[in-house]
Amino acid sequence: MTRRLVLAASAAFCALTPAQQTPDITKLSADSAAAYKTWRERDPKLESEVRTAAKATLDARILRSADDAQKMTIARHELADAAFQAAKNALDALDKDLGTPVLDLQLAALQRQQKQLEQDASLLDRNIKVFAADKDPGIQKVKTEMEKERTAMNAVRDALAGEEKTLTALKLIGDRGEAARTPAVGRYGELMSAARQDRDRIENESALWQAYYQALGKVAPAEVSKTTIAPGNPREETTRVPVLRPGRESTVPPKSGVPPIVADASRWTGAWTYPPTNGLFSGEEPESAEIIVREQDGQLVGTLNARFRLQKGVLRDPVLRIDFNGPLTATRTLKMTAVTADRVTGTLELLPGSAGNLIEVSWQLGASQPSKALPKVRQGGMVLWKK
Amino acid sequence: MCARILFLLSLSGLFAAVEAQTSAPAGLGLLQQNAEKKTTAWLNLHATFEDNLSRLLPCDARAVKTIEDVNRSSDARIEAWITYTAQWRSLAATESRNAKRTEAELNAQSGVLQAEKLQLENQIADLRTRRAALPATSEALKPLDQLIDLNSQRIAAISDRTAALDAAKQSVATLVSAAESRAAAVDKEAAQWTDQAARWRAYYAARISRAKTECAITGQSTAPRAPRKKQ
Repeated sequence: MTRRLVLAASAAFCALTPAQQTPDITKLSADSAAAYKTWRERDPKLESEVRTAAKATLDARILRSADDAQKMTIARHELADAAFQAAKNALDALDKDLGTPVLDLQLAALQRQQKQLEQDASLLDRNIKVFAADKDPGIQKVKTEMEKERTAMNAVRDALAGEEKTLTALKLIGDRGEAARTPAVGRYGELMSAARQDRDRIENESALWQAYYQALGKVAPAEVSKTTIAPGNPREETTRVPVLRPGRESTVPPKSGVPPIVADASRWTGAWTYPPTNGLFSGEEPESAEIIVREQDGQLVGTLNARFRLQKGVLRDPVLRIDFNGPLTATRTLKMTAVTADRVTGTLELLPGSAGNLIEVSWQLGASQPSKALPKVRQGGMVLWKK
Repeated sequence: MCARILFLLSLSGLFAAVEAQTSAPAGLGLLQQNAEKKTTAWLNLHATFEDNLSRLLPCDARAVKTIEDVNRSSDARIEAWITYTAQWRSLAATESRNAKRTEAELNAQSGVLQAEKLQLENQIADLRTRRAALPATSEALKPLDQLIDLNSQRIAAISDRTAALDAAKQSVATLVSAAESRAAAVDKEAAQWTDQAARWRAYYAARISRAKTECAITGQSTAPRAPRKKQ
């Protein structure tokens, strides 16, 4: 369950990273709230009825609540990822100087112009003064032109003074912005770190929910688990049959009502299929699945072929083929060595279902994957009926 | 025909890429360097043109040309500044938009954190109720207690995150204000260039007018020009 959570969340995280897009945190928050509400409302009396409910019904209820808790945890993880990504995006944006120009240089150039114009104006003023003393009409014409020039020069000087004011204001604004940028960057660093820690906590939460519901299943008293599927007609299911969860080993004495331990190969051999509707599973939901089991020299040899309906955003191969084999033992659980078509190894367990025409299968694969292939559905379980 | 269209499309893509490059901050730096270079060139011409004019006879054809050359140089540097400021303006507007979006996101995150906190508090209460219904010896109690503890830790962490968010909000509010002021000031800076260009042109036009008057009153004579004091 933890792996599923991590993979799903990682896929969501990776999907965000390349485009640096800011996630819709409000929507993810609403999704998280909805997932929490589903979990809370699913079975509020589960714990209070854990000692009185019929085993078969109870197991199904536990399974549903565990699934809801898992979905709730995934939604929380995605929200924490989004908070991390939002803080990261904001930090990237804040830390990036979008091109604050070097105003000092521009101001220096402006001051050079102003100085030059002062010199020009000074010379012009002197000339106007000299020409003013001469009453010659031609000289007076030149003086008039000089005065016009002086007016134009003053207009330029006014414009430069205005620009100097604007540039000085821009410099101050830039300084003010920089003064605020540094603490903001620091705060976003804190927010990123906090979001990361939150993600770690949620990963722990996933494992705790799993442990909780597994333990809750053990609270149930030794009560008869009624056969709920009519042999030979599994579609007439009235109560769902639980998938035996990992950890229930054959060393545990079977409770009354649980099908007896069988060493008969015929209990396992043959073709088994996952029902098209109302199937029971843990992990990813199968779209279709088949198992063919045969006996060979005291060993059981078989193949599981399955296709899954993967949740949106889960980057895994929807197709799974596992070849398995192992000894036929007089134990409740048959532990098999499993290998996928891509040579990923792991274990597969076969368990008798609550009726003779049902078996349960669960598998767990190792982490090693072919480099270019999508990861396999590494863990899961389902109930199949005999063809 | 198709090949031609494809060629044109590829050219348009190339131009778009070039445009995207110039819109980067590095492009702004280059534009600024270009404007400064042209300003220096113009200022050198401007600083010496009166002195050069004083060495020419009033009706020397080179007199008007000298002033026109300085005017052209002035126009060129102002054009460079206009290009640069337009780019700066675009970046300042982007910065302002980013700052506002960041501020809005912070506000959204505050709401989300409060909702998360409430959810966790409700879940703790719910888990405690469920805990009370379980047998005292149940193995489920341990993970359940750990879940309650984990939720409590998350609530405490949310309080810290809320404090960091509030502090970030203050800084970002200052940034938003600075970015808005900067965008407005850059708008003003952009607008002043057109006005400044017109004023410089008017000045050089006045200077040409004086040169022509000096020529008119002196004819082809060698009458002395207005004195030019060496700087």
